[in-house]
Amino acid sequence: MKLFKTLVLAAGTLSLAGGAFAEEETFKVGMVTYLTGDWGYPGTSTKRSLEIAAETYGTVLGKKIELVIVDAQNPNNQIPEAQRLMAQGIKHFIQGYNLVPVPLARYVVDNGGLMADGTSWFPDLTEEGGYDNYFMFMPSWKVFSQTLVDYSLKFGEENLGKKPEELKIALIGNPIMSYVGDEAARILTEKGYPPAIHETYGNDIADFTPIITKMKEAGIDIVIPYQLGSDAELYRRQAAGLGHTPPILLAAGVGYDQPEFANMGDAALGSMSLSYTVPEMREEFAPGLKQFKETYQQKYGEQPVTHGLQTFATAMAFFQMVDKAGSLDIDKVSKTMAETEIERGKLPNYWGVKFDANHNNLYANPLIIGQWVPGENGKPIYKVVYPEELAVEKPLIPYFKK
Amino acid sequence: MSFRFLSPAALRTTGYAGVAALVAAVAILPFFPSPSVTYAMGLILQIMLFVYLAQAWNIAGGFAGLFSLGHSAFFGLGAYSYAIGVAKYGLDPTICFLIGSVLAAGLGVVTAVISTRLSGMFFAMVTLGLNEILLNLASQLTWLTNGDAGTYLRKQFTVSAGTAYYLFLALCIAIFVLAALVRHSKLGTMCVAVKENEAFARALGVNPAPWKIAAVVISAIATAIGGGFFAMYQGIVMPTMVFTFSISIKMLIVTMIGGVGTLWGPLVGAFLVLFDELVRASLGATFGGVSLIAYGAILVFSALFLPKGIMEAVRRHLLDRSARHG
Amino acid sequence: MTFDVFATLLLSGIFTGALYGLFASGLTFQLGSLSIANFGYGSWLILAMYTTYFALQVWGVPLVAVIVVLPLAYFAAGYLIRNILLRQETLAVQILTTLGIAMIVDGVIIMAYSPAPRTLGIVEPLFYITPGIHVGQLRFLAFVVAAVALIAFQVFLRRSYLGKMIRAVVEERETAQLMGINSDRVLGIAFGLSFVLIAIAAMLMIHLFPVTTSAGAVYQLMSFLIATIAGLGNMRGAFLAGIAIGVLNAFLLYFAASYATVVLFTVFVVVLVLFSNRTAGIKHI
Repeated sequence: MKLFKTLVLAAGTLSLAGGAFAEEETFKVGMVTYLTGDWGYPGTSTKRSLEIAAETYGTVLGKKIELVIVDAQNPNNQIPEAQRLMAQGIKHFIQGYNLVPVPLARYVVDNGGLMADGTSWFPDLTEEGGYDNYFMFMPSWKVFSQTLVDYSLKFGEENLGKKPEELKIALIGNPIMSYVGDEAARILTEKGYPPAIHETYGNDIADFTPIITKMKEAGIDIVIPYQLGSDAELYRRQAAGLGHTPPILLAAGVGYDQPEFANMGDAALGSMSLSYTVPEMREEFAPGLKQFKETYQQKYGEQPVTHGLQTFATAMAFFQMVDKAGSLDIDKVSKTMAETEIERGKLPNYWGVKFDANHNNLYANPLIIGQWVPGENGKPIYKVVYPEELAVEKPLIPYFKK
Repeated sequence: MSFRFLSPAALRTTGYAGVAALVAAVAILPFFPSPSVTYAMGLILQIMLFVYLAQAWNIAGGFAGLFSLGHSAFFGLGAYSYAIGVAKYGLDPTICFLIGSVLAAGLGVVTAVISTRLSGMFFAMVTLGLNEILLNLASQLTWLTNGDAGTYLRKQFTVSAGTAYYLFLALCIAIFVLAALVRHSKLGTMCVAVKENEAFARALGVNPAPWKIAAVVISAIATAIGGGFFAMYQGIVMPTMVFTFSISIKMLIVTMIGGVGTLWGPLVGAFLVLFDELVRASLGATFGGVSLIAYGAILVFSALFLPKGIMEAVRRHLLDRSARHG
Repeated sequence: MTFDVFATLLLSGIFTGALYGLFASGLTFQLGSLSIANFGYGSWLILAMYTTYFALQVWGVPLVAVIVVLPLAYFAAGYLIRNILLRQETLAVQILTTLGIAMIVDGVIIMAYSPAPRTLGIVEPLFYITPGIHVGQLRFLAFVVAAVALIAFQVFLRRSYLGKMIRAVVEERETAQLMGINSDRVLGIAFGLSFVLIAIAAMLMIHLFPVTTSAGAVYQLMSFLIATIAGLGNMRGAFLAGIAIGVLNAFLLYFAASYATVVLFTVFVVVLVLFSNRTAGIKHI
């Protein structure tokens, strides 16, 4: 009991020490992300990218940018972490990597803070509306599912010469992304072209042979995997081993642009993935992208991933808008953000910024498609192939001729 | 330590006074608004959540000895019943809590019946398995749960952090009263008798099943209610937020560090939640892995030096004293 | 469904299942024979996978050296953990201790190897039995290693002097002590040996699967599932249970992938409850 009280006291003192002296000499920006736990990897990349953004941008309103980045470890710790940062006088937040962004964002904006969210795709807050200090820089996952369907039908028609009703589409993925697969299946079914196969397997999958066998039997034209992590790598590798080469593989999201895909050699080739902006797109239309990649490589010995670039670009846009607001006052910053328009092609991730009434970013497009193609040293390399203005390579569809 | 200078009776009185003072302090804290108080409130809310859940676990796990590793199943049922009920079907919150309680009680009965056939590790494994089934269903049944995109709660279905603070304070007080009642009732006596020596209890003509079922059902409903309020406070429910081993295990660790089967164990063990938070706060961002190592080390340390929990150490000390002075 | 498809599913189930059996074997032995519920099992498994990856890819250590050194290091780790930290035998204390160790191991992984996912990226070549029926070569190798390791382990326990001592201590601790056996040392060695099984499984697995920091939890759960269905402590049982689960899983993935995990865990719960009499003989836990 005594120990307990001592600890409570200690906590009180600690927080007082942290909270009482909120100085106004720096511009404090908070980020609650994941540095340990299941999402430690993408979380770390958002942390690093925000740090590079602060260094690159320098000062906001003449003040040095001071970042306070904390580790939530799991979603249930987000609110306490946000409370701690806000107790230190931090009001401006940039979203880290977050698959459960709502509690954090809502807490921040409900308690006098502002959240610039450039990494999460859940549109719940903007759909409900009324969260004036929440800004969603990303398109929602529903847009993502819709785009997957659109591109699939387009490729089917233009590259395979098949009408939508003749196409055999397979949707496979893991539970963490089940909603993306289900939404794509719903759209396809609504259009009258239900997917031939639609399966969400468990996280414990160790062998794709049965699912691959099933797809081979069905003569699938287009595979749309919605996979998030290591299952993407395992599937691709096993599919190559089993000679399962569907004419088109268009993956949903980040499972397919991970750098470690290159390790599997030729097995990676041909697969495409739909993504947000990626570091591999054409640099001349995304000012600052080249420098960001170089700095990242130099500091951490590897290339940034998608969420890193999204964070970097969001932070750069946000700093710019605070400068424009001429004050750190939340209402002023929020008003400026709501009014600001940044054209496409002016930010390091190409996208522009223009918010609608509910603070959805209207310029959060286009989504980008990359493809693994043969690289110089025999290792495959991930290159952007769509849309044309950002592409660095022509797509090869179908990559594997039947 | 300081209690060496006190007699057992005086220590007990001091203990109760301490708890009363603690409750009073927690209750009046929000009346002194400042940024640090807000932070302290956030921490205390987190602690209260786990003190509440730990005590709920303790009723089945501690008093009745049903070592469950899957209490997050009840928690998730409560959270989803509330969230889906209000957000998808527009039900009254009370009805949602009722549905959550009924579902949890149903699962509780199943669990308790299983426990009459399996004990110890095997029972623990079954509870782990049941939770895994629910986790996967919550992910897969997207038409009902919206899968891992989560069931979102609009503002009118949520509570602010300030309200949640008092809600959980009330819940904590209620669960301690409930636990004390259970502990000192026939139910509590029977549970402990069955836990300590089931064969002997059976020989005396006690049928353990109804008592076990009663204890688990109470524990399950309490956990589900906690889940409902948790959903209200978080504003969204996702499968991995609620049906997660990390919730089950924290309920159990907090109880174990305090003292399994003791009334005050879950309160004493809560310092662990604080420790976790403070370590992550001070070290988390700079050295990702260090916070995990520190947290792990304190668990190993407690297991080595306080294998039966802090309350047991206190009790042993009290017994020593009464033996010496009595 | 053609015969070729049926055979392919069956074979892939058997060979993946053997791998399940292998990676659950250490846990089966710990839980069943040594009565230690190790909640850090998955973390130790991925630590060995990460270490093998780094040794081969980053530090340039030859595979042979890894095969010699890693099991020895794991043996030492197991021995020390048992004899320093796991002398208490109640379930609660074991859970607390092993969870604590798991967190420390996870922390070490993040600090030493960073949380990035790692893969050797090997595309598995196939053995063709007929033009339509095939087996992955690495999985076949895993099957052989699993069979050899588990049979050797079982024989070692039954025939060798040390193995007999382990069984004596496990079954009748006090009598064994009266006979002059240093039970702590024997149990330490036994726990160390179970860690050797972890190292062997991990070295194979990194050649097949990518490793991430969240993989430990999945392996942990699967190992518990298999160990329990195997009827604890039975190494041959683990192997067979692994294969049974593997085959069941393969057909589930083919017919209803969405519910594979749900069905698997339902089967697990039902098997445990129906065959609860089997567990009655297990000591204390």
